[in-house]
Amino acid sequence: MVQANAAVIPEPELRALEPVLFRFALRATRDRELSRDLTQDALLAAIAQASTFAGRSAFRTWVVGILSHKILDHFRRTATRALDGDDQEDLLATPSAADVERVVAARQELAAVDRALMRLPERERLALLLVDVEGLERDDACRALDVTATHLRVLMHRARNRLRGLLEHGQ
Amino acid sequence: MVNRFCSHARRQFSDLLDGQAVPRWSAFVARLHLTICPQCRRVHRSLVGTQDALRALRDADPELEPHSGHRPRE
Repeated sequence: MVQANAAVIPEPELRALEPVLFRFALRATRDRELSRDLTQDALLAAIAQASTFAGRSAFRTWVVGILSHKILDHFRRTATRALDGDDQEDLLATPSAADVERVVAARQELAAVDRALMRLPERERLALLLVDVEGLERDDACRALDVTATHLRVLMHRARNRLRGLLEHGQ
Repeated sequence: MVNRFCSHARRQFSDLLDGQAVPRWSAFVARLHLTICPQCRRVHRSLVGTQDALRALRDADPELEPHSGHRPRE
């Protein structure tokens, strides 16, 4: 058991989360060393803040939310240029039947999905990782990203359509 | 040919996929449009496939190309 304040988190539960958090951080940052650091930071923060875990969401969801904040802090510190070209016409473009089949086939070739994911702007990528990969409810994802419901809606719309475009063209 | 009905429908797809509350009339128009527009059905199917592929990543290790997108730390 790992004890923090009055709360106790079972150690096996923390250990089980480590690879989950590492995968999430790696997909978000593309940097193994940084992902290891962020994973440890998130686990330590979870232990330190254990007494604030209200149980409204799953423990995994809660810790992934903490990790998201760490990742966002990193993005802010490094202040990378956002690739936010928002060409609605491109985002809403019509795929051919062959394009659609490529997307459906991507389910079998996850490396292609990972590669496409890496090409998204950071916040859009993080939104997809939280909602579509981790399966967070939008309310939880808003808290994890520090955004309003409307902002998340826009992020999801752009991110899904941008990713769709990348998968359709086999990039 | 993408018309204004297509554009309207395609802007709703992401929310509809998540079962989000979309204004009733907007949702109705988008669903009705889907039944008559094969191009928008392709967009919708592609989005469903995209979401399905993302869900499959949940327990899979990331497959990254060496140094893909690596940024030096500050």
